[in-house]
Amino acid sequence: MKQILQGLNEVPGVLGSMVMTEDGMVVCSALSSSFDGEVVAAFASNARLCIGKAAVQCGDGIPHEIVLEGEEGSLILLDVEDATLVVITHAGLELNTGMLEIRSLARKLRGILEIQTS
Amino acid sequence: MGIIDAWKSKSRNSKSSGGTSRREKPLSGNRHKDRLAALFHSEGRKDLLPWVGQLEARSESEAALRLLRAGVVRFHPWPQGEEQLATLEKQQFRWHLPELQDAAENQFDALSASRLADALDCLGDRAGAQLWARAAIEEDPCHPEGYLAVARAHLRKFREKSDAVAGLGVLRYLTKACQLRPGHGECLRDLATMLLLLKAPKAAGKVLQPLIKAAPRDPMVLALTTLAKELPAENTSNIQELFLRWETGSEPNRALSPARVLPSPSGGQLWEIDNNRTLVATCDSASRDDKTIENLSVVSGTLMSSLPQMGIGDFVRFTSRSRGGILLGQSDGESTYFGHSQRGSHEESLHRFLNSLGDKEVSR
Repeated sequence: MKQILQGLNEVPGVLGSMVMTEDGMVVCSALSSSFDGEVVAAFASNARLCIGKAAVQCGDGIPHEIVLEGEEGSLILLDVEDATLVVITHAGLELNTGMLEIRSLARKLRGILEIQTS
Repeated sequence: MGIIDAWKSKSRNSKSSGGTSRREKPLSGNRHKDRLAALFHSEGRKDLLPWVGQLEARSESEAALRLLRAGVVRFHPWPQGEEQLATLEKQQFRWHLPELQDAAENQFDALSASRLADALDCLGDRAGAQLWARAAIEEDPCHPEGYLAVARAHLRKFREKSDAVAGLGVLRYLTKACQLRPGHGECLRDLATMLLLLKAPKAAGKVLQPLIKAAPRDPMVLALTTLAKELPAENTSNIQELFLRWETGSEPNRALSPARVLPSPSGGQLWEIDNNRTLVATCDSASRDDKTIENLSVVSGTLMSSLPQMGIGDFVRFTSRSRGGILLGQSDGESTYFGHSQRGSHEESLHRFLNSLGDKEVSR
């Protein structure tokens, strides 16, 4: 898992990544020293929870992908088999091919977690 | 699952699953119950420290500690009580530390590791406490004690320093502990304490019910029950909304009907929520259901406060993709515009639509 996260961090524009459980417990982290894993997990799981509730209330079901964009960067939350992949990027990555690479690595991670839970 | 749901799911099992735990022994005999309860009434604070002193003089340190812990929660903020509690806890834990270390190192299990984590946190060794709490979780991820130790450390920090990250930590770790053992006495007490710090006496009162039955003379139960009766009832059961009220000191105006009508995008719905988390405009086709509005309002408030604290600057926009549709949000600094469509292919056009609304608002 750590290797995949490190691979993910090599995608241009990616500043760090981590995997957390649905309830915001950090499973594996590859964040740079400028981010505190506990802080990111706390806010990311809170944001995921409230957006999830709103999406369900609108009849969409639980989101499988959430992109939060700030003025100085973005936070991408991807559903990976009962866990969430959290990726921090430079602002604007959503618009280029970086997002495709992130999704592809998320699929790999999903595969690993599927094997571990089966 | 939310924290209140996690607790509700099995609170009726409190008796069979540890409703009375290691800290729930009555302080002393039945005859003291009324006097004890009186200590937690608003005028009782002045008598509390002398009573604690008497217990200490009789070498009933555990009882003194339980009473003072309850008093500090009841009369928060109470610097004199906090100071005395810190001194007493340090004395107690220094005394017991070798024994706790032995237990954690020799018969290593989640419970002994979490007890040591608690002691280290009280003694000010936060890093050591974290290490042992994590070790407890790793040793047995299905045992609530490790999560409880982390939650308690966060709760202490939240109470002492009003730290938002610690507050979210309490909610996350208590949710987990409640899910693993619904009805666990200490989980319920910590949850009720957190709910009262968030000014939610109605929810706290429900959490306290099984504890009142299981341990009616427990000082913490008496303190929490008195406090729950004293605070005005909250008008929401959404824990994230309660957290935002604590964080911002304001609550949205739900009685206000939206003054403006937004243009309707094809096949979509629109809402505008202002920075006070109040709905100010919708399009004709948008749902005005209370729950929908509350959820969108919480999203707006949460993203406004979270993104800067995560280190990625002010909130600009978000995209949520589900199998059944998309939910988008865009901020113009004064409001958040939300767009929803059941068709994923509308994402780009809906984002453009939201963008144009923000631009119009700016030029207006």
